[in-house]
Amino acid sequence: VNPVAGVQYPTILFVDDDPLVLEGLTRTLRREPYDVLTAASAKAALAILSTVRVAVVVSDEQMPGGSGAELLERVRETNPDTVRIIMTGKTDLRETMRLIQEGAFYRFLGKPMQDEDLKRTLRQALQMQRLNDASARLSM
Amino acid sequence: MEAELRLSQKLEAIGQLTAGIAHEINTPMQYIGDNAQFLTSAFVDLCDGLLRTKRLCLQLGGEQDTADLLRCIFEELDIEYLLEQAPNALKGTLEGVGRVTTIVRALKDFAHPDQREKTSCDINSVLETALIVARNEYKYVAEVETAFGELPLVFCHVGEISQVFLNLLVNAGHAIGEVVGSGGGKGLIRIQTARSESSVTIKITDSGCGIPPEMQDRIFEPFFTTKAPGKGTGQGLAIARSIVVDKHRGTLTFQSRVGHGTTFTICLPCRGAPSPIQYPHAGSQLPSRRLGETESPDSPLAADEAAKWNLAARFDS
Repeated sequence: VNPVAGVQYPTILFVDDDPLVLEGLTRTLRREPYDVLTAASAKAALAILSTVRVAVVVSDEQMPGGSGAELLERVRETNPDTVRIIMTGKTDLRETMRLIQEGAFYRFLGKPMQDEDLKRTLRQALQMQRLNDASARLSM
Repeated sequence: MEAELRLSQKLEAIGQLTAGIAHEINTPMQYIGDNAQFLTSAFVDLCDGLLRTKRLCLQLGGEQDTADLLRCIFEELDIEYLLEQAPNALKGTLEGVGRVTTIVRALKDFAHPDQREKTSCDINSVLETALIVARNEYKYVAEVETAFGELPLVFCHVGEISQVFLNLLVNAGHAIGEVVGSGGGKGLIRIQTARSESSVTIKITDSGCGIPPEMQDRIFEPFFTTKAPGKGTGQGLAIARSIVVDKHRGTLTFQSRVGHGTTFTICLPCRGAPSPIQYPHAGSQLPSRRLGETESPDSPLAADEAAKWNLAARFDS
């Protein structure tokens, strides 16, 4: 919640086992209209997701104690309204592309990404989420 | 044959190693970039605030001692200088991040660990990658000039063709190094590509020492080398010939004049008519000139798709 305007900002959750990556991403978004949360593991991320309404989750691919793809697979079941994005420094993206084709997640972000790429991807993800919400309301 | 097998095993091992290292480098590059970008904007904001504070302070009346003290602090801070220089330093850092990212991507493009099958590839972008990888071998002795023609996709073993380009570029650099020595002068490596009905031609020309006539018959022989012991294995051209001629049914020829330089010409067959090139995997590495010639996405959906590919291409390395 933005304390000044009292406006509810959409929440973005970043998951990465490297705290420096999380700090960097959080700083990158400091002036963007989002509430940014971070989690250092898949477990911590699921704990947050069970209590907070998260609009977009951006997870690293390789983490000890459960890959990002596995985490997002879980999120797909537990929080179907949350838009899922995978983040990876891997250079062979064939597996990632396959998972995107299957609908496992909405987008991927390659590390390193430029801040503009991140911001644009988040804007598009939120736009998609709003469309999903609207169509869910219409079909009720 | 045995040497070839050894080389291909070695290439595969290097490819796997490179993929692992690329991943390891990409993670810190993420936050180095983020932090430099953050510091840039934070710094500008901070200085702006300080400058306004300074103006206000200097206008204020009040105690003479306090005013002097403030003036002293602001003089020491030299905000104007910091505001001029610090963003440049950070900009340089970001450029460095970009450079490292490009090199890592090129290395991986080059290594292609799992590529055992032929794929359709854009020869011009393979050449650009080889130029980045080989840069260290020629950057002090030669300028590079490229004249890339519009090419159809070529069905080839991209890793091996990269190896051929790399071998020829390294040789070109060494041949020029023989001429210019360490005197600081620079020679020229010129790369041209063109297409014909059924093939693609790549010419790599150097202004190096040239190949003496008596050696010209032997340069494709395995273990034949004119380089100093330890500098060459005599395998480079033998392997290049084998890759081009045996594996791709192409030709590898050269023209050389001692004291003037050498041109190697590679001819690779391509199937049928030149196809309109789609660049799903080349993305932002391509000169805009050629991007302009591909179909421009006009629907928002197509643009979105293109953006996705572009993003994919940037890191599909």
